[in-house]
Amino acid sequence: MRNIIFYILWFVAIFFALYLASIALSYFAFDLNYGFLKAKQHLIHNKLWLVFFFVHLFFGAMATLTGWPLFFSKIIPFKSVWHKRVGKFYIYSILLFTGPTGLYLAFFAEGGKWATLGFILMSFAWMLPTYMALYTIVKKDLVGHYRWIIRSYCMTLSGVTLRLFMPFGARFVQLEEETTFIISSYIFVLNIILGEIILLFNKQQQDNLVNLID
Amino acid sequence: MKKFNIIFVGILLSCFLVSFIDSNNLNTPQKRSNIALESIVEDPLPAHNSLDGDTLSFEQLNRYVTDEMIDPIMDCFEKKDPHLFMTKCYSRIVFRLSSNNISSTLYQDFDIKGSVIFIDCSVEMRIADVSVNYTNKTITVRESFRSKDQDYKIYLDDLCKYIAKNGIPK
Repeated sequence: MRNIIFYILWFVAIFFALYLASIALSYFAFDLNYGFLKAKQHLIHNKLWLVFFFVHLFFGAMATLTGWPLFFSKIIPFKSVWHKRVGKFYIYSILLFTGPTGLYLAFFAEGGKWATLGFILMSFAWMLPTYMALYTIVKKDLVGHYRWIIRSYCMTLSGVTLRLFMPFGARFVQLEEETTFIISSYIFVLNIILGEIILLFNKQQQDNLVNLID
Repeated sequence: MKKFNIIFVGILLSCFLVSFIDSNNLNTPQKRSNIALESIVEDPLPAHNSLDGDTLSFEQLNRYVTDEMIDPIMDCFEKKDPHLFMTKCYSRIVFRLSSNNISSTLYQDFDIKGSVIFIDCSVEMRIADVSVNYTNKTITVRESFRSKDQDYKIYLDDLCKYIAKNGIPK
C-alpha cells in the first residue's frame, strides 16, 4: 500500500515537473510579449534583467528535468558515474545559475517589497538544501545527502506550487492582484513541509542507503 | 569544495549587488498595482448609505455577472488554452462598472452599464460592454461600437465558437 502511494506521488511530481519545465522552455521562442513578460514590459529594456530571466528559466528547467531520475536507482544506478555527473549538473544548475539569478530577479518581483522578501527567502530555501546535499556527499554522508536532496527537489518543485496557487488565488478566492503575488512568494513553505513529511515516512529508504555504504 | 565555495559565494554576491544598479522594489518608492484593483470587489456605495429594498450592492451585481457571463467565458478560454490562468502572473476576467455608475447608487430594475475586462498578466483587454438589469435577469452585450446589442447567451455562444476556431484574441 505504501509503495503504491509512493509511486502515485512520484507520478504526480514527475508530471508537474515536466509541465513546469515545458512552460519554462516555451519562453525560448524569445517573444518579449509572451506570458509572464507581458507584466514585465517596464523591465525588458534592462538587458541584465532579461539575461538573468532567461538563465533562470533555462537552468531551472534543467534542474527540474534532471532531478527526478536521480531518485530511481533503476533509471540511473546510485553508484554509477552517471549519477555523479547528472547530480553535479543538477546541483551546479541550482547553486551557480538558477538560484543566484532567482535572487536577483526577486528584487523586481510583482507585489512589491513583501513579495521581494518572499522570493529572497525562497531562493535561499532552495540553495541551502542543495548546498547541503553537495556538502554531505563530499563528506560521504549518504543518508545526509539523501535527506538534503529530497528537500532540495521539493524546493525545485515550488514553481509548481506557485503556479497552482495563482489561479486559485485569482479566480476562486478572488484575491486582489498584489495580495495574490505576495502570498504566492511565500507558498514555498508548503514545499518545505512536504519535504519533511516525505522524510518522516521514508525511513526504510534511508536505512537501505546505509547498506549501500557497506 | 573550497574552490566551489568561493565561486558560489562570488556569484551570489555579484547577483545581489547588481540588483541595486537599477531601481528595484527595495530602493524605489512603492506604487500599488493599479490595474485590477478598481471597483472589482469594492462596493461603490458610500459606507453611510444603507441599501433600500430596490437597491443593489455591487457584490450582488458582480456575483450575478460572474455566474452568468464571466465563468462561461473563462471556461471557453481555458478549453482553448488550458494553462492560460495557470501562469506565474495575475490573469483573470472581471466585471467593472462604467464610470457613470461607479459612485452612484445601483438599482435592481435599472440598466446598469459596465464592461467585462480580461486581465492577462496585468495587461487589460476589454472583452465587451454590458448592460445588466438585475430584476429582469437580463444582460445585454455590445462587443464594439459597430456591433448590435445581443442577449448574453447568444453572445457567449458566438464568442466560444470564435475562440474555439481562432484562439483567444490578443
